[in-house]
Amino acid sequence: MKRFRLLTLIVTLALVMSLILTGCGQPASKDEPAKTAAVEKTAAPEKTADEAAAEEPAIDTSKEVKLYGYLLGAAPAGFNDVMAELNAKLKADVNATMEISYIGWSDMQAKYPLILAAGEDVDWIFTAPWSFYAQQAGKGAFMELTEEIFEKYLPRQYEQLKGTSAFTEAQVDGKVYMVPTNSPDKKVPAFVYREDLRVKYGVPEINKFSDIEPYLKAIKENEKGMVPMNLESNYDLGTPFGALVVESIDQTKDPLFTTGGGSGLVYKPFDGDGKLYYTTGDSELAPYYVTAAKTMKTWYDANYINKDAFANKVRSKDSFVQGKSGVGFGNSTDLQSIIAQAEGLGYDVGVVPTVGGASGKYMADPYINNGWAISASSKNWERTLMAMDLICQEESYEHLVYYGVEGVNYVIKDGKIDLPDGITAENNTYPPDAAGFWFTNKNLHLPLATWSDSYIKLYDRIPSLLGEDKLAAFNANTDSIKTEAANCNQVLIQYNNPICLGAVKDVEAAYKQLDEKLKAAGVETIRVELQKQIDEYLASKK
Amino acid sequence: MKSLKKPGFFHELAKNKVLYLMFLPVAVYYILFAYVPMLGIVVAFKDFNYRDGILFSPWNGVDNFRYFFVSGKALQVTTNTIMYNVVFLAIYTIFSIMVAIMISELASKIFKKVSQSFMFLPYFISWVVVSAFMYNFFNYDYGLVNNFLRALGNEPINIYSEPSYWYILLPVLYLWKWVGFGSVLYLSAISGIDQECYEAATIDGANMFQKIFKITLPLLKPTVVILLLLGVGRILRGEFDMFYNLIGNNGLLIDNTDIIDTLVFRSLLGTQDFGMASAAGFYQSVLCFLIIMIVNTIVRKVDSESALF
Repeated sequence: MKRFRLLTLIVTLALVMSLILTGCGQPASKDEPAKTAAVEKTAAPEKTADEAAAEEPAIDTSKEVKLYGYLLGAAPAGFNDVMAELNAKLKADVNATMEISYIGWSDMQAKYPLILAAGEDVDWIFTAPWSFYAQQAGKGAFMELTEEIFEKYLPRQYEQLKGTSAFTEAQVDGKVYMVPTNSPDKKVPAFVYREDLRVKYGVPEINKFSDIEPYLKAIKENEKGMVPMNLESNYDLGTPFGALVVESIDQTKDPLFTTGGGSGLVYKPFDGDGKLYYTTGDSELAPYYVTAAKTMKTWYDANYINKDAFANKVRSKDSFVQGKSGVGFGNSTDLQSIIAQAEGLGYDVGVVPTVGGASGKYMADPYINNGWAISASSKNWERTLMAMDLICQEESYEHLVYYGVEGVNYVIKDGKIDLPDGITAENNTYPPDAAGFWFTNKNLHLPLATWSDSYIKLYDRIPSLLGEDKLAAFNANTDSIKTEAANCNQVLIQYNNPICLGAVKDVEAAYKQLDEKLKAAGVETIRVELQKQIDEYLASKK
Repeated sequence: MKSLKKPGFFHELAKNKVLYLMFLPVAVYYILFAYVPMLGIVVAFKDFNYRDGILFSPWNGVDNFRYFFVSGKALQVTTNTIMYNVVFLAIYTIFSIMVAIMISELASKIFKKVSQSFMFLPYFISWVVVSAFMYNFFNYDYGLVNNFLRALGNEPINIYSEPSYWYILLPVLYLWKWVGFGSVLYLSAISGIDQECYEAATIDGANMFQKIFKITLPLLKPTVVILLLLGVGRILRGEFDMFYNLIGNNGLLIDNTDIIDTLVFRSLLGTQDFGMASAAGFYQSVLCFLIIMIVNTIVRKVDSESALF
């Protein structure tokens, strides 16, 4: 009897242990670094004869290295072919090869800091204020980039950035940790809808976002299998609500904005005084927010919005192409390929920018809105900088990473980027802009032959739609208010996101609750501290 | 007199060197993977930055703990975590024992193996996949369940905005995933019971139920107590995977389904502060430790044989 009990115990414990062990199992380590590293490059000093070769004689590239980079989004189908060609070029020019991984949109908030914290196999990573630049730089996750480093290792990029405000914008506590793009996107947020269906159902024209209601109604009633607005859980969630707010009170911006969170405070970028407002309670802006929320609620209740937005991971612009959403949200840059694909399928696409009601403008992107940084743990940062300098600024590299392989993904015809014979926008394995290299020199770009009339109309309007955000380069320092910032962020996720979606039972009550929760979470402490920082910043700029 | 002197540590080592040698791998494993990482607890009391690393970042006292308690959510999520885990542990134990007894009483070998395998299968399915199942079953517009309800002329249900469904769904899913695994633990215990007991009972004319209640269950008690104790020790560790994948950041469900782990994950994504996250982990560990000590003491008082230590 005793013996059996012991045996039982052992078996039980063994099973429990195995359970614990599998739980703690380490994922298999990444594929080993290129074996070719052992092969000594015979003609090391020999470099391709581009103009920069003369400027970098002191840099030793005799040892082949492998560089690791991270971009946001997902790899297009043709990514491996592009990488093969890129690596052949990099091998010849700087004796290095590169491996690039992607951080998906939906788990970006979790994965991004983890990759940097682990510090393994990461030489460079995409960064921007909306992608944790200030937070991570403040924690020492990135390598500081001095002007000398720029001059020595990034000569082409430095040439382009010299004399612009890019370096001032990129400063965190007076130091630069990122390489901003030299060609900030000229883009505005926009949405696409089916012009053919609008005409078919006799819906009035759509010139601004608030015109969309009759169209949503027509889609709901007539198009089975299509949700008027099929929203996703991260990017899309607050977008229609934001578009409505912006139309009624012009642009507002949360100084601690991250996708899906923030502080609950906003300023008006075009006012220039940097005054922080509440969006709840007795704030003068609150009624506008309440009105927009009520509109969203009527749409949600009428099933114009998918009820499972919190669980949906497919962005509306992608559902739009698949014919599952009547509206797609994005910006004038990332909607390019959506429009091309949709028109390839025979849809007639309408595209409307969502800009401020009074000003008719959107905040022009600062330089730092797209960029990349060297990880603090990078072992081959010199070579990474040299390789990235080529990728960002050399036309052949830039076109490769942005448009794909020439002859396979694009051809140049009459000074325009066109698709090769037999390739259409939907089966192109490497659509322009889709691979996440948003920080390259876009001044090297050519117009696309696939641009539709509706897109060209928008594209031509963009410069007139951009206004200057006086606080574009302001980076909030949250060291002294991190408890309150974490709490307010959590309150916004819990109480504000359902309001934005229209999924609350009573809008007024929900706003009252949000107001109470934000105040309890210490939003006033944040306001006082950030207002102080903003005032100091504006004073320093005068 | 010499023999009365307590033998030294090295004497003990030399005497049982083979046994100690056998113990060595286990000791090394625990020191490396359980005790050394415990040093990481210091992060909870530090203003962490990458430059100075874990050991050299400046101290900041209990600042990191403030966030958790100031928000007023500590109590709510602690209660949620404990309540969900108590329910999970209870149904898991009861159903695992029931399934184990049923399987052990089955006559057909093939049916036994097949049913066991099918019940074990969900254990290998990750919550990410389960959440995709759920989405396809219950999605308001195209979900299987809702299409079925509509076809019958009923109102579709919207589980992503109504917390009450989850009070049932979560335990059911938990059971679905774990009961196969649990039943194997108990089945191994049942197969360890001396067959002579059953033979004697059969001769005395006992029927199946009498055998189950008078022999199987009493002899299973020590295993049940040990597994329960281990389960109680984890009672403040929520099933993060499950809650995060099934519910995510759904504000409509948060009050009812928020556990410590998801609250910490969600609030700290924005600030990405390791110190504050560790502080919450530290809080969990301390509570876990207290709970297991208290429960073990109670068990020892009642039945000293069954206690863990």
